[in-house]
Amino acid sequence: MSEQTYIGDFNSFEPKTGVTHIALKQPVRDFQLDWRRYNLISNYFAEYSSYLFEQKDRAENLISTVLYELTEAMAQYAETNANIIIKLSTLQQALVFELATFSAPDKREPLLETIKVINREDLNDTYFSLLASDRSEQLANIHFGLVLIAHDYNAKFALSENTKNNVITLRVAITKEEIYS
Amino acid sequence: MIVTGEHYTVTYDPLDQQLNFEGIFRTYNKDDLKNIKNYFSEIHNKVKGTLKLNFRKLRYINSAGIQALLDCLHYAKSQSKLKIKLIGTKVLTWEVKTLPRLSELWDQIEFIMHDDNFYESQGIIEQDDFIPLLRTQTRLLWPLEKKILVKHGFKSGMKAADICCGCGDVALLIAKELKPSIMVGIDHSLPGIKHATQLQKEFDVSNADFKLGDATALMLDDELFDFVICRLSIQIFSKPEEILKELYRITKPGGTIYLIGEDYDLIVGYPNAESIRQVYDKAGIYGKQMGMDLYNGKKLFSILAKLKLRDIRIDYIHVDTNNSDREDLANMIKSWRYFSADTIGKQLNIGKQDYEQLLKGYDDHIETINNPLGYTIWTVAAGSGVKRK
Repeated sequence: MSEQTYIGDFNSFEPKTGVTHIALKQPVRDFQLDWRRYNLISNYFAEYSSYLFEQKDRAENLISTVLYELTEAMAQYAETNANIIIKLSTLQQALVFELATFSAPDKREPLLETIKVINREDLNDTYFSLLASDRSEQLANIHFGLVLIAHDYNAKFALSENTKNNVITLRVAITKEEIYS
Repeated sequence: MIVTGEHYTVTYDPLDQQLNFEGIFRTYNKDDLKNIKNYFSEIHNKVKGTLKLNFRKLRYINSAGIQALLDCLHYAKSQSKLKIKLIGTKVLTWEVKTLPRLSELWDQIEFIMHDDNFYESQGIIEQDDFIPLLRTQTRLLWPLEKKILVKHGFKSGMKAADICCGCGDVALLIAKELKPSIMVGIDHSLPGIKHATQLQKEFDVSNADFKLGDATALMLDDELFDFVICRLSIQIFSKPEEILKELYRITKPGGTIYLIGEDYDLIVGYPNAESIRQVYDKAGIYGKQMGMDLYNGKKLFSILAKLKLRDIRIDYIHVDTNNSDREDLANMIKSWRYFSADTIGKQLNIGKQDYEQLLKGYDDHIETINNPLGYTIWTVAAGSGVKRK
């Protein structure tokens, strides 16, 4: 059995075929000690990269909003003593966010479950049922922030999981059209 | 009352029955989330009819914040007492993407994109084909206006802003020639900002920054600028006071607010004097029907005085066939002809006779300009005042 398993179309948005504009490695513990660092990191990425786009303000707002949720989710499911590597790349038609960290099988299970839900055809129904339900009724193993990004930004989510070394890599692609529409 | 956190505030405006969210609401702090819900329910229970939630100045929100907002909307739905209006802006991507979805929760929640409604003539002045008109006007005005800006207190090294900068020509000229430390240009027109950014790159201007923005809800800090400019714009808005309030807010105490106003009463020419007068009278009326005030130049003094500025100064800038290039002047009138007769005319659905009269009036004006013995003058008012400390 392969050590590497995938959810979603992981290799369709390979950042190696594009340009990585910024990459950063941060200890998970930093975020756990002070959650305001999600805001700092996502705004930093957004401000740093927004000049690449014609509508830099719209791009900045999109990048920061998306990266905030992805980083928060990855840090939530990562090992406390691990690092998170965050990359933002552009392909011809899309922005690609890639986040990698270490996560034990039991800890990463809700993340895997969320990515599976996002890749189902009934994402729209799931999203609206999450909006419509009280928080107490929401499924504990569905990460609302990721579902919101997938739905509202038409983001393609994929995840690779290495069952041997417990490295998980989340890859999220959003077409540039989403900045302008 | 005000609810405030490290990076956000929520205030209630009883005049509009509106909760205003500002700043960055990214939090996991349970007190923050609880305070928002409590504040919402408190206001909700006090008012009747419609409660507005204004997010135009909320730069970011995280999913926990959205969930707190959802809790508020669920509460409103459970009470079934009020209509809820969610107000967003096209400037902030998250609002474009997420706010409309929230309105699908309940048929009494409505989403309003504020930028779609805040002035009637907005659509037509944000199109690509408005850019040549702006550029021609700049070509004519800049040689005269540069001296006026200095006379009104513009100095190198200042922090300056051009609100409603259009395609950015004037902001770039100021950045290059008057050398502020930074010249921030804001406009709501995507083609305008795109044009400005391209020119900035092309001319390698490092002390300018262009941003898409709503002039009535600027994403700029209070008291940030030494010199705040708003040229040939407030006449377009049906509610200029909303922009003026923002210009005042972002100006430093001791800083200057500088406005340029249009005045169709002051456009004259000879020969074809009568036809020229008639066409601008007519265009002024059509402008009014579109929510514009094409005579606001003469009102600048009272506008600045109402802001309680000191050292108010008014100058008139005269562009005429004597001090300017006749071809540029004729090109500007051609742009006006198209803008007035075709763009505004179509919007107002004017009759064939009115349309043809408009065209004839502009053609007569162009004929006057092209006549080597002809004379015409276009006058705009430049007014400024200093914000008291």
